Amino acid sequence: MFLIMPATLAAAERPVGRAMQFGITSYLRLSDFNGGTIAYQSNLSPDAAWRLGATVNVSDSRGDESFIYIDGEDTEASGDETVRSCDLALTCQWLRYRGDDLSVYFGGGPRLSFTYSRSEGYTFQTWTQYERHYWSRTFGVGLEGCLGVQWTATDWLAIHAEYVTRLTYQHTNVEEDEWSLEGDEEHVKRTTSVDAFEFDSTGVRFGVSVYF
Amino acid sequence: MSRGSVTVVAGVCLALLVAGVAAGEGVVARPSGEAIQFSIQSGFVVRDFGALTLAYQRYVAPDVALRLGLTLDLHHESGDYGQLYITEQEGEVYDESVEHGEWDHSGHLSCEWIWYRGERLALYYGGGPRIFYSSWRDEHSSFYTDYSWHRRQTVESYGAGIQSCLGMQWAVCDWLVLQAEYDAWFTYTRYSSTVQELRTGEAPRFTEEKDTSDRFTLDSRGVRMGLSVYY
Repeated sequence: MFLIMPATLAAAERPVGRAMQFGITSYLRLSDFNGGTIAYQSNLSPDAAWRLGATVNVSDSRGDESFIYIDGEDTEASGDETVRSCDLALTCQWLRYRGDDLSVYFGGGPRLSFTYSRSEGYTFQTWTQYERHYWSRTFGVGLEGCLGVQWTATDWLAIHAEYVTRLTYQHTNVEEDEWSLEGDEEHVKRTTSVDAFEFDSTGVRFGVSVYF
Repeated sequence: MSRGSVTVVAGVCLALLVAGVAAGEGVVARPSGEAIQFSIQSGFVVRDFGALTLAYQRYVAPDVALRLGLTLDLHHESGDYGQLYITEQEGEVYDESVEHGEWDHSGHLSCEWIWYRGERLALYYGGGPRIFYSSWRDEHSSFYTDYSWHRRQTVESYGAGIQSCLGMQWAVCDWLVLQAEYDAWFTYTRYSSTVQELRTGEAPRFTEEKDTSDRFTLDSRGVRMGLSVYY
């Protein structure tokens, strides 16, 4: 229907102001655009805008589990685990527009991301007791650029599709610690450090902006 | 979405399409100028038109256009993995560490000259060269108390060929075109893979395996549907 709308609707001027942005997925379902928490755009001038995409996810969970091995010794075990995690991403882009009801736009800006996960757990068995810690932290910085086209459906609705590329650097640290508190005294410590550079063409992002 | 809903949506689209054609017949000419191209996937999802970085088209004459497709991906990752294992009863300490590096590069560029016949509803056909390159290298080193083990794997492929298309397009308005096309390509691909392994310590050993192949392909991916937005 979006493809047919241009033939049936009168052209409108490109909207200027503030907008919420949404992605369009299969069967015209709406989803997040460039941030899971908010995707917002505001004009700085008639032909320039900045947009912000943010994702914030924080969770804290505690759980208990118990299980019994029914074998010759009927071993019983129980455990509890606490997991805290957060996932943050922020992208900010400056865009330039050319055209009116149909416009081409391009721009770019920085992108920051941070994920953190920490878990502590205990396992109590008949003959021994284990304690383990897991800690993971990833931060990324980069640039994101886009080149797209936008069609103004009405004075408050614009439909756009854009090619997106990203240049990112990402660093990940993971530490795992596991040791037995009774019985065979063992201690295992694992550390991981990963650096990644990426120039990634992510393809097309299709969305709609609702101005207010 | 249920099949019935899809049918209803498709029916409404078709009705609007017919209405649009009736209303605009003889008014809308074939758009020309520059365009960015997108594909229409199942579920009416708009995606890339065969090139992830950009698909671009520009008219170079009234009935001739030049179409470019570009994909570029670069990836490098390096990591250190360490493991310390202590058994206090036995008084033993094992220290193991792993270094890992991975490089992944790929690129693709295609260029086609397209000829058009018709105005609002037009037949088009054309072709042009296509080149592509990809390489992947993986290095892995494991360090143990009394020996170390290293492995490097390199996979590289590159090629060139020609691709062609034959399609129909319909101008929805003076800046939007819907198109569907058959395409086919003939390519030559050179593939090579090398695996090297080195073990140090009391029984040092080095092995190397190489694998190369040449392949000629004549292939087609059927119909792809897309839209071009002229600006």
